[in-house]
This record gives sequence, C-alpha cells and structure tokens, in this order.
Amino acid sequence: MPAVLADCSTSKARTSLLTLPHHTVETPVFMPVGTQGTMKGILPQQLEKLNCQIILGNTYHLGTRPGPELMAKVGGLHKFMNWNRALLTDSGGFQMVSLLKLAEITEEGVNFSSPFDGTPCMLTPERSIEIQNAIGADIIMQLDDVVKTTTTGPRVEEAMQRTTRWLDRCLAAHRRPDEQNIFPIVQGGLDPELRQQSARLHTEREVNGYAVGGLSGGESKDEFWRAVHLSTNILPKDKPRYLMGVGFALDLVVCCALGIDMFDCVFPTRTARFGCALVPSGQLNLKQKAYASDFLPIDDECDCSTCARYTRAFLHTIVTMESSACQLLTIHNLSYQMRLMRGIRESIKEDKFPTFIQEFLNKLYPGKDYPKWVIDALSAVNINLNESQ
Amino acid sequence: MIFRYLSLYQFIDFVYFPNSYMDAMESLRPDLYQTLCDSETDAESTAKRLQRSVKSTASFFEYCLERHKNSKVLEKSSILASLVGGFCSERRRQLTKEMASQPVDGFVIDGFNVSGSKGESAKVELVKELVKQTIADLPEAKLRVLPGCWSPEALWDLVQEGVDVFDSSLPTVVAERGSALTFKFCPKTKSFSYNFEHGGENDLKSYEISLKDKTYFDRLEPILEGCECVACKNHTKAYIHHLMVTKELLGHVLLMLHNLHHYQLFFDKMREAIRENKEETAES
Repeated sequence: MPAVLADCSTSKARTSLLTLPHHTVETPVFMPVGTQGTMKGILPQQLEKLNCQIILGNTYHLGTRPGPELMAKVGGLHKFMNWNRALLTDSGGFQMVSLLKLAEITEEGVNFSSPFDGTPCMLTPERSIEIQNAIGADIIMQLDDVVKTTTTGPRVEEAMQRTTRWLDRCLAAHRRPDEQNIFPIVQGGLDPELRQQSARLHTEREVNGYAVGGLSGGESKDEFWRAVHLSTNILPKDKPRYLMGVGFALDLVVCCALGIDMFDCVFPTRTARFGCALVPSGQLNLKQKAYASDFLPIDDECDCSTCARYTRAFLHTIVTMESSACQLLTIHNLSYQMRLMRGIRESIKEDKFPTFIQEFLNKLYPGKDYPKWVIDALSAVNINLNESQ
Repeated sequence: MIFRYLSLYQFIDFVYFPNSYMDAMESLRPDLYQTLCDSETDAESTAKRLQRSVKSTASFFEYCLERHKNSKVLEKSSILASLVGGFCSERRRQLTKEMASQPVDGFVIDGFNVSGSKGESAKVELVKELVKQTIADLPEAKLRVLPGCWSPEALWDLVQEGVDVFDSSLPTVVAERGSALTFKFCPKTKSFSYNFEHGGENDLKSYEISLKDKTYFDRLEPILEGCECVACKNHTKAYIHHLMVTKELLGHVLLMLHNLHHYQLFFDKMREAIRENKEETAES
C-alpha cells in the first residue's frame, strides 16, 4: 500500500511513497526503459546518481536473450545487471504484437514464429509470468490482449474480456506473490463503457496497483485524455495507477493532474540517440548547424554531468557520430525527466501544483497557444489556464 | 605513461597544407603536438612513395618549426618532430640524422602503418630494428613517441629500446573486437603470463579473452579476478557476454573501462621493472 504524502487540493494529482521489495519509490514517477537489461551505454551507478528509482526491462527481449533459465540461475535481473533499486517488467505481449509480423492471438495465448529459427511458439499468460518470475522484478505486468486504439467493433470488447480472463490465469500462475506485485491492465479501447467494465473487473481482484493500457499511440489527444480521466475516476485511490507508454513532458504533467502515479516511455532515451536534448522550452536538435558555435550548456539550470562539462557546440560535433554523444545526451535527458517529476512531486507537497503547471506551460508555450486538449483536460480537474496574452 | 595526443589522420581532409595545420594547432593549443608529416606508409610502400613521404615531411617540418618559434599561443606547447621512412632503413637514418639536432622537445617515430589499418601492427621484428636504429641517433634527453597498436610483448621490447610514449590503440582495438585484456606482466621476472581460457572463433591472441564467445554465457565471475576496475568490481562475464550478443553499447563501455585500466597497470609494472633494473645495475 502506498503512503500518500499529499493530495493536490485542486486536481486529482497526489504524491506518495511506494514501498517495493528493492526500493521505496516516490510517485508520481517516470520509469526509464532499459529494454535488454541495460540503459543504452549508461552504468547502473550513473542511473543511481541521476536519482532513477525504478526502471523497466522487457520480458520479450530478456526472455529470449539471455532467457529465463540463466536469469533464475543468476538470481534475477537485479543481480544480472547489478541494479539494486526497483524494477518493473512488462509481459512481453506488446512487443510481440508490434515486433513480430506473424503474431496471432488466440484464447490460449499469443502464437508467433520465433524470430531466430521460425519455429512456432506460444506466449501464454502462464509462460509470461514464469519468465517474469525468473527475472524477479518488483512489479510485473499481466499478459493482456491489447488492441490498437483505432480498432472498433466487437474485437475491442473481446480483448477487454479476455484480458480479465488472462489476468486470472496470471494470478493463478504467479509463484512469488510476496516478492513481486502483479499489476492488471485496464483495456477497452476508447469505449468508456468497456473501460469502466474492465476497471471494475480488475478491482475485484487482489492486486496492489493498476495499469492503464492501450493508450500510447494512434488515438487523438482528446480521446487520450478522456480515457485516462475516466480510468482514474474508477480505479481505487489507495493504489498506484500506471499509465503505460507515456513519456512526453507535456503528457506527464497533464496526466499527473488527472491522477496517474507511474509512467514509462522510451522517448527520452531514444531521442537522445538521435541527437535531441530535452529542455523546458521543448527540444534542441543538436545536429542543427545553429549549435555549431553555441557555447552554452544544453540547459544552464540543469545540474547533470553533461551540462556541467559540455557545450552545445561540442555536442553538435559529436551527435550521431560518436557513441559517447549517446551517453552524454541520455544522461541529460534522464536528468531532465527526473527533475521534472521531482518538480511535480514537490509542488504537490506544497499544494502549488496548478502554479507549477502554469509555469511549465509558460516555458513550453511562450505564446500561450496551448493545445485545446491540454486546456480541456486541465479544466476537467479544475485547473484553468491563464490564456490571456 | 600514455596520453592522448592529436592523431594526424583526423585532419586528413583539410590539412594538406602546413599553414592550416599550424592554424589548427594554435586554435587547439595542445600540450604536445607532432609536426605535420606524410606518414601514410607501411611495409608495402614503394621506394618512390617513401621518397615523397620523407621529402614532404622534411619540408612540412621546416614550416611548422618556424611557425612554432614565432607563435605566442604555442609558447607552452611542446613540439615533436615527425620521423618517417616506412620500412626503409637508409631513408629513416638519413631523415633522423637531419632532425636529431633540431630545437624540438622530442620525436614521433611514425610511418609504419597507414591509418585505418586494423589490429596489431605487422612485421614487429623489423619495426624493433628500425626503432633501435632510430633511437641510437636521437639525443638521450628528448622524448620518443611511438604511435600504433603493439602486442604487450612487443611493447615491452620497444620500451627496452628506449621508447617513452605509446597510445591507447591496443585497448581500443581489443575492445572493438569484443575482447578484454587479461595478460599479466611480472616486474621482477620481466615475463608475461597468459590466461589460457579458450575464447574461440574470433581473432584471438593469448593476451585477451573474447567476451562474444558462448563459453561466457553463464560465467558469474568478473573478467579478471582481483581487477579493481569498474567493470570487474561490478559486473560478470555473463552480463558482458549478454551485452555483446545483444549489441548493447554498455558492453563496449565496460570493455573499454577494463582495458584502459588494465593497460595503465601494465605501464605501472613496466616502470617498476625498469626501476628494479636500475637498482640491480647500481648494486652490481
């Protein structure tokens, strides 16, 4: 059970302490994604220094290489990669459906051809939990039947119902309930009725947190925020809510106001590898010639090791060419995300979250041309933006 | 002791002209730098090619030295004369004799490899002979730098011939092929011992192990027992092997951290061996 430290008196935001077997995590929290048991090019010590408290590993990748047998032998992913704080693993389902050309979903599980030798394989709820038990993360995800948000028709309801049946199979197969927390995933596409039903069904199970799934691509922003808002209205207040696959700064801030506690996204680390640095005003694409003689650090208010030593001009010469550029920008972008989340948490504690949001938006939209979905979403939780010029 | 000095080939696109080279030196302000030279020669180079290389190098040298003498900005920088001549004993000797008396702070013995050549240098025995010959004609008190990728045994031999400075080619090349340095050098006996763990298919020399090899899939010990580097204190062969197989950047990072650490220790031990030699000679 998380210990709620403070509630925002205006919106649905709250800040809590989530005590997990390996670490106590402060929420709202952003979880960087270390897909194959590593954050690209970064040492675990560097992640600690950046105040990362919980990171993700991907079950599909790790279940393939190095595989659950070695994971079990080593004593889990924590020991394997020497990361002593919290870990979360996804179920492997999403990767399978998005990465593999011939993934077919049946009641039994996900049918696919092995990408290595083409043999037919099946990922069932039981197998997913078995692999996740071997990996040993503090939070593990149920295998869900995930559909694209653009899908309509009976397939959406079928997926929602199956997700609940798979949740029960996952819970039954779970061998380490005292060391690992299964989170169910609320589905239902963009249909409010189905989402409500999914959430209600999940709350009837004995779990310690909930994920909101199926909302990270394809849908309009208006549909997106409404589905999040709806989900957090139904999900219990006394357990963490995890919005999967969401990570742009603007989305994080708005969804915290809507009552989300946990996020994950590859965006900050991936964009770093393409030479983009995250700043309060948006992004700097350091490949652009404009930075060739710009001798400022990426962000003069950032205290990360990259901003302490390097200028935009220097980074401009190495981005996308030297692997060290990948590390330098990843460190900065993770620092940006961690500081953003800390700012959110601190402002909620001081009950000044609406002010924080206004200041954040002032920097991102100096012309006050806020997107309509942002205005609508925030006003739904009683935050009215200063729109006058 | 090893340090990073500017590798000439990074400038190959625009620096054909010594004046732009010296402009670059004045902008960059290195602590030490070598004079512009044509060192893109190796054992295959023809006599004509070598002649050109020596002639250009001598002419570049004159210009660079003149600029250096007149440069306020480079007052604190040390200038090193580049010595070339490929594998031709006569040409090297001639150029060396001309350069030996010049008012420079040291010499870079270059021209044994073309840039971009992978792996350890070829024809090491010949190189040792030529280095020996060159150093015999150089003043005792000035620095001798030898760039290039040398095996640990070859490097020790070259140290004994009188070379002072080497670069980080070996640890880099070894890491690039997914391997970690594991050889040991004993300062007392001045001998090498190797880890005979069989690596496998990759281009394996006895002074390294190839972390790509399947053998390491489930090996839970560090690269080298007792090594104090970040990689060995925190990670296992199995993890590094995983990073190699999945082509993750952290794998390369850990190998470089280990290899550079190991290489630095090797230099500590060589210096210790030399000091011991001196003590023994003094006592006898």
